[in-house]
Amino acid sequence: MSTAHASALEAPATSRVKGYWKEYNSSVFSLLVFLLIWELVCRLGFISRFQLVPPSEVIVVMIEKFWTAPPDGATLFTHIAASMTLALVGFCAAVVVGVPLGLLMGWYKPVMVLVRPLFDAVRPIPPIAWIPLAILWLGIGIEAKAFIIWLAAFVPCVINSYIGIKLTNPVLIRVARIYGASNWETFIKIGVPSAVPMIFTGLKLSLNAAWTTLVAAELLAASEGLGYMIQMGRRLARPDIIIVGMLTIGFTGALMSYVLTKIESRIASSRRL
Amino acid sequence: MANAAAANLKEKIGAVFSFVIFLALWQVASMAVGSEALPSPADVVAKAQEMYTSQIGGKSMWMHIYYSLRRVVGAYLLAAVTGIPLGIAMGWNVKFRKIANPIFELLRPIPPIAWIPIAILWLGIGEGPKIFICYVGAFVIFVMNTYTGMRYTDHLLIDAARTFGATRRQQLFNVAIPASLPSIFAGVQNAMSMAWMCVLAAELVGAREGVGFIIIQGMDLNNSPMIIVGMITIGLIGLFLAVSLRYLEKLLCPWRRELQ
Amino acid sequence: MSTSNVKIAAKGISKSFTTENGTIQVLDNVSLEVKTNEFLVILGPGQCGKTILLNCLAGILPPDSGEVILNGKKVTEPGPDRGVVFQQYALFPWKTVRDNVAFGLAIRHMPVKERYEIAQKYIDLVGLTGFEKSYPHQLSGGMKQRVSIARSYANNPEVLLMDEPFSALDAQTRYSMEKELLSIWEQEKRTVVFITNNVEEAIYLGDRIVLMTKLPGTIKMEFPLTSPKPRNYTDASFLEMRLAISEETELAL
Ligand SMILES: Nc1ncnc2c1ncn2[C@@H]1O[C@H](COP(=O)(O)OP(=O)(O)OP(=O)(O)O)[C@@H](O)[C@H]1O
Ligand SMILES: [Mg+2]
Repeated sequence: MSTAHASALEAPATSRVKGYWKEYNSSVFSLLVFLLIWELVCRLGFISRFQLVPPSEVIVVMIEKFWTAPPDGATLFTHIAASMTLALVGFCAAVVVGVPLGLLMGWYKPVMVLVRPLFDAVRPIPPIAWIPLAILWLGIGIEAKAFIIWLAAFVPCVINSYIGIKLTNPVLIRVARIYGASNWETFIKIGVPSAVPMIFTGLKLSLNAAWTTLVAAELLAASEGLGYMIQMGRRLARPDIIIVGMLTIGFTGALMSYVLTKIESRIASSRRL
Repeated sequence: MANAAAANLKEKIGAVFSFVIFLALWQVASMAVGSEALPSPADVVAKAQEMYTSQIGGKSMWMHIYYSLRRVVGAYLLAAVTGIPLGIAMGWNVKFRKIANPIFELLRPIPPIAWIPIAILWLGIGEGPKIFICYVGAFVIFVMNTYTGMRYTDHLLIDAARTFGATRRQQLFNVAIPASLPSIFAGVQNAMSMAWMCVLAAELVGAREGVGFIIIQGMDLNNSPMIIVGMITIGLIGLFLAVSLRYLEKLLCPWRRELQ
Repeated sequence: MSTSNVKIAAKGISKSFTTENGTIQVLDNVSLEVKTNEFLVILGPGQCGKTILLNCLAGILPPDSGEVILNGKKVTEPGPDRGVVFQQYALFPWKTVRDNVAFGLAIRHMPVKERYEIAQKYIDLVGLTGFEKSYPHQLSGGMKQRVSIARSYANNPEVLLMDEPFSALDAQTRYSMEKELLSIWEQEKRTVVFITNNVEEAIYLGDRIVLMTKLPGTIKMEFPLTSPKPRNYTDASFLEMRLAISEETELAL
């Protein structure tokens, strides 16, 4: 009896593990093959140590970088902290300015008519093209970088808030007006909430742009941060440092997007209740 | 009709008005600051005239533009012919998707600009790393958009094709790929603006020619009018590329006309 | 003898789906036979598994148990011998009306000229002359449905499976579409399986009506209709039939 009972309990668990394995085995396999080829290419000397090192060594360096500063001057955490601070400061400043501006542009015609042409004129210039001017104006310190990142994150914030509020269901607006809401009240109570999903799409794009631009800015002018780390890796011809830096950049960026998505779904579910 | 025309006119007047205000503010600000760092609009125009008629770093402005465009277009085309088929394969073939996706997902979050240092280590400082960076940036977008388009193909359309006896191959070429075209075309646009940004980044980090070189040269020479002319050039070229691709899309995707 | 006359048949079809919320039995042992050139109407309330049944007949969806027999052979796959008019049109948005209608012929590699001639014939038949070069998004719902019907007809299938083709139309268009469908069918007889949730439509069109129950879908009753077509909505026999069916249905009429 007891054995039958145990197997009945176990059966679904093992089959679930089997199910996962069946789903992901080829993915795991393909990653392993990828790493193996990489390892072999390096070990068999097809490529110089100054261009690529095997993944096993990258892992060792990555672990060491948690507490050792050399050769690029700071531990991995210092670099991450420096980059994330800068990116988040620029991003938040862009949200604070860009979202209201976009919303106002979408709601109030005169704001749109005045701001939109300028905005459209500036938009085709990629944010990183502002780097030289920003450095000239603000020096090579944190201000120039913050400005560039702000600019990069600002554009998607404005556009998406603008589109979001433009797409507000006109019926809802009319209903609110019929019930005697003022234009401002309608804006706050109907327009803004209905733009929220689009705003979040914009925030994700913004964060992405901020992170990319941050790397560009740090490549050009920095004394710490992940972009600086990979740039140092290049100067020292240390591919292991570069690869650790690149993976960290990718991982940190993905992590920040993930957190933003979580916040979004939290807000979306609280709004539905 | 008349109403729309009036609204259009109003918008145009508004645009002119806002540019006039902008230029006036700029002029006032540059006079107030009174330093080289913030040139007046007139200074910029004069500088533009000078730059487009003389040589910078031994090459004319047009040559710099040509160098940048050559890098972008070459890398972009290469990315299209490799990225779109890869996206199609990943979207259509489950086995292939399972093999390619993990590697792709691992590399995708890394911004293309972060590839610059390793690209220089691998390919030196010539054309190689610049084309490589643009390629990486455009490639990822091509793959992602194609793949997304394929995965979101309405299954009803595939079923409909099956009821006409379409083979698997016909389902792919006559249904899944055309159904993904709008998504692929969104990628065509995004990939171009990404490639354009990447070439700038690559040229900023190290180049002896190209529009990115122009603005970094302006910075080194402490010459802000030169930077501003460079930036405007960059914006105009970016705009030109975007507009031509939009035109191409309208030509190739006529059924999308009404959706926009 | 009687079986030789059967075009397509479902034999004890069952189908269930497993989702996070548990398993739902959608079809439970459904059997039916459709004779050659018969216009069979399947009448059932919303969400009773009509589309699933039709997809099984088309071969798009394999049943859990039971089988579909076409011309005495078991159906395992969709094929050009069974044309389907989908509930949501399923037109190809990147193809013009003409190319949509000619789709099945293109799949068979028919030369372009011949293909377009046939397509034109059916475009005319469904009354869309002049819209050959339009894209689906430029058409109204009723026009899209006509394209879908023409597309199926042009492929010359032995059986036409139609899934609530008129349910998205307004009453006026619906009446005229029903009338047109009948006249097309009279001109080119086919075996038709027509799904609807509308009693009047069923009586107007069918040679025979099969009544389905709510989930799990089973066949509850059959009503043969013998009066000549086109029928009149206000005839006494029409109203009588309507009453008889309504008493048996769980439809909220
Ligand atoms: N792939 C699926 N997975 C889970 N459940 C499904 C699936 N397809 C259909 N169902 C369920 O089967 C039931 C019957 O669906 P079906 O589409 O056949 O109904 P129908 O009779 O065609 O309804 P309608 O009149 O609205 O067209 C529905 O309750 C639906 O939720
Ligand atoms: Mg249905």
